[in-house]
Amino acid sequence: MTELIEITIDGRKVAVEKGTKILSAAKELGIEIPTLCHHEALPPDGNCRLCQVEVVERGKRKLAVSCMYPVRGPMEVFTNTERVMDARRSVIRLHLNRCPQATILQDLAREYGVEPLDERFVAEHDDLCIRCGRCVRACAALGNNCLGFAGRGWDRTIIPPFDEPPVGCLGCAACAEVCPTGAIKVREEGNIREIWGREFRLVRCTSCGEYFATKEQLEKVDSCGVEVSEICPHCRKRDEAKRMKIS
Amino acid sequence: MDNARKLLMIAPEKCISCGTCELACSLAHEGEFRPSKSRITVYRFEMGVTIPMTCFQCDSPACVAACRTSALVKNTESGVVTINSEKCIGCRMCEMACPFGNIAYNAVTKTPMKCDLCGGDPECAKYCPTHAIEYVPADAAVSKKKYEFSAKMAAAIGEGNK
Amino acid sequence: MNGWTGTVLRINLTEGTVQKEPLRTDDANEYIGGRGLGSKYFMDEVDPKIDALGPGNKLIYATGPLTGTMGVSTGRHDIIAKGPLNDTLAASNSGGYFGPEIKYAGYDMIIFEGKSEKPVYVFINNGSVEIRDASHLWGKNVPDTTDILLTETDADAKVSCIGPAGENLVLFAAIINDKHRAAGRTGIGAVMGSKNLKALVVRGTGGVKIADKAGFLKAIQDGRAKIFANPVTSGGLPAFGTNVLVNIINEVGGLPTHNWQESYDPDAEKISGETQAKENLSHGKGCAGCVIGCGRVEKAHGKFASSGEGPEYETTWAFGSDCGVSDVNAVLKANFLCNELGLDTITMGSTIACAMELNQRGFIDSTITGTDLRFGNADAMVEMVEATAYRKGFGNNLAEGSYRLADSYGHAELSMTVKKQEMPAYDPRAIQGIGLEYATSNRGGCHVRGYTISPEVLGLPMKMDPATTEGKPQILKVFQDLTAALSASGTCLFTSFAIGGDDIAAELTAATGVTYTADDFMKIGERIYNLERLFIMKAGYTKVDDTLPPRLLNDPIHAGPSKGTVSHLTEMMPVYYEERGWDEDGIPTMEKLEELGLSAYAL
Repeated sequence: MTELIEITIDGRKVAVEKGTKILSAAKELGIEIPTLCHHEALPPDGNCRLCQVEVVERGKRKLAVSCMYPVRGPMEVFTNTERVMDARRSVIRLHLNRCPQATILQDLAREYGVEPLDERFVAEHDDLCIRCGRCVRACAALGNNCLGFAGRGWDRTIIPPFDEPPVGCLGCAACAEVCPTGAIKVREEGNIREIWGREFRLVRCTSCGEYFATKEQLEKVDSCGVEVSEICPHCRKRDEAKRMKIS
Repeated sequence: MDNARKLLMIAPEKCISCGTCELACSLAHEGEFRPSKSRITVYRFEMGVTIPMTCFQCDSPACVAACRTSALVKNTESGVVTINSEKCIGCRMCEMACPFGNIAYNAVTKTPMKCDLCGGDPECAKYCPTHAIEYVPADAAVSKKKYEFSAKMAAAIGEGNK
Repeated sequence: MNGWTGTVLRINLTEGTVQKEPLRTDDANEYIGGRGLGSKYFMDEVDPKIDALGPGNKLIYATGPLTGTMGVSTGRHDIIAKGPLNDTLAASNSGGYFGPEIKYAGYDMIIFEGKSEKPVYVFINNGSVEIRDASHLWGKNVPDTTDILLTETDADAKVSCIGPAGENLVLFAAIINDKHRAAGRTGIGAVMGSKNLKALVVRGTGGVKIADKAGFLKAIQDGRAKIFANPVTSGGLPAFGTNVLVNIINEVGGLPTHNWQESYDPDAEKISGETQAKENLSHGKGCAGCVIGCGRVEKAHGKFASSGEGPEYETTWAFGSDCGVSDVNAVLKANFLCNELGLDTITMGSTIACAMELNQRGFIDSTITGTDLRFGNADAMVEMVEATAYRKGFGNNLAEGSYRLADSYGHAELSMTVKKQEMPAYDPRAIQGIGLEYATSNRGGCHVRGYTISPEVLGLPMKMDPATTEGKPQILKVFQDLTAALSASGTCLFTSFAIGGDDIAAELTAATGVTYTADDFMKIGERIYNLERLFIMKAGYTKVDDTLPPRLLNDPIHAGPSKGTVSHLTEMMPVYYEERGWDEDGIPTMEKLEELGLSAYAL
């Protein structure tokens, strides 16, 4: 039996398994904590620090990153104190400083009343990457590990190994799908998909002629022990219906 | 509930092509009448032959095998292949893996779409005017029927029909 | 918006321009959609006196707010134009899957204006609209055109097109969608042909929203329960299609035979729904969202071997009893040919029957027709269908419809038409109310403007004696108004065997968020009916045209269950005018027009 621990969040009690992160516990109560780098499918990384909450534990009161902070014993959590709000505003401000054009940050700034940036800090670039690393973790989850952090401080970036077109990349674009700011660009034109500087030749559906996937994507599915065809999903369904018609 | 699993039984010979299943499905899942986003698709062929197609809730689902983040799970109790869209990273492996094309990825909502049997009360079966779609216990008789149907399908595939 | 999409697409074929405009919501509230709203737009934009085959005519594809929803059998659309067969305001209704696709693409109506210089088709892919060359399709029949278009656009698209008949301006050419469903009457296929518009292809991946989901589901469940409990909608129609009527109408003694010289067909059983179900039926079919499933997929055997959808009862009658043909396979073949070539089956069959009577009476012969047009000659009948579509030989005469055909030989009285359009399948001498319907239908000889067969023969919603005139003007007005509003909503007429205006009003209210009571709904129907009436009167029709062919007024039925009867139209007409609030000339009074908000259209 797993040990259940009762904690209090914003005055409401919830019993969770030992080790549960505060963010998950709050979710059980339906209490929403804003996040950027968190993704339910991926291990927490505590990068963006937007999810900070105030924790009172063993008589100490402190700010904690809720996606990383585990419940180890009784504690009281506050998700909307002035201190928490200050922390969030400051985090949003820092991110916005880096990526002033990210709409998700602009929306957050409006929601939390973050004052406009000093003009001196408004970057002239169109970098949308907040270095949250969702893409890094998504690629790792797929077992490809094509992305990683490089550099430190302001120069920290996310790049494929040696900043070259990634060899193990499937061109699946899951990295772009999970990116909260739309920083990762995928270009698709005719039979070519380009991502991370690498061009993929798309597989053409043998039935309708539409380009629908990269060869690498199909090989990856194949490697999961699933036999895969070069017919697009749309046509597969129709073909399956045709087969059933015959039976 | 008892532990009897239930299945969607589709009888194409009773189907009149009306597409009510698509309408009921899209209303339940998308909040509007929108066949293109229905989890069940009606294929209309010549001579009135119509096949409604939806997820078979396979015993060993290719989509689940391909999913790296457990967003798709085969529920061992109900037999349903369920989606936890929060755990989906949009890699589309499930879509490429399903041999029957029964999952489609919705890039707008960033979630795969497939039949979830409406959590145990499928709208398509509820509204089908001719009972061509029925939600029935997977008892011995039905399993047999399903088996025969699969066998016929397999035979048909074997003949290399296009 | 809810129910409606809120957008009207306007395509000018002369200029090659495409325009999207917001739906006029005030008009939508008052005319709902489909036949109602389409006619309102048409009336506001087109001079009733224009040449139906000239560039001034418009062609409006109109859906209702319920089209594309899960309403009770609400997969219908109307096509509105001035019909070249008889210069009336056609609102030709069709089922299949095309209407909903228009909604899913994001439009309530599509208005075609002008005339293209060269053959074109229009491909609507959601928001994108392309006018494309159709020279490779010109001359092709409906199934070939449809298949080619599905290959070159999108396999999931829906196609509405004309066949050779429409291209050749046959005056009763139909527009066929989904290969088998016809917007048939008054010749709107020729309007499409006159615009050099071969086809409209639509792909829509959007949806139709509704205002009140719970209310809507409640309304349709109530409506469906009535459909499923009704013997016609849950028994006769799904089992036998509309052909269930062949034996029923024959037994009343009202099945016109040999161009209406007789009203009882001793061979009816051979072509009946029961026979077809046994010999020819492959599958039942329903249109989008249908809960009835009256559609037939059938096969003809022997030398007429062929397959397709239909025939409907009126088609079976036109090619069967009316032409004296008892070979069901020939009837089926003629029907399939009409769908492939794009012809209205009622007028086609009736026009051949008229030619057969002209032949019988010696006004024409094989030197003119090039074939032996004896009643009962199935081969000649089938041959004439094809000849008509291509205007080959005598087919060129048939292509003008029976009125012009008979008139050209000096015997207009042998054309069984009202306002130049052929009456279908129910003899008003045996069934009095339907005669009043034929005489007052806004598009001439037509049964689906006020289907009094429902009470007079089927006993729905209550039984009325077909042989008497009492109460017929009153019930006809109710049916005409109900039908107009029902069509405007996108609902199938056949639902009205089981459900009423209150049921559809409830669906509409929940779908659109605009409150419609049953009274509002009927008032809208009346508004539509009067608007159409004003159009045809402006086009030149008068009360003199509210009549039936002399045969039905003067010649008693010779034999069968209704032997000795004639139509008592003249008794009913004044009562009908009064019931409608029309003066003795059949013109809507100013008072009535004001009541309906139509005074701006007064004659």
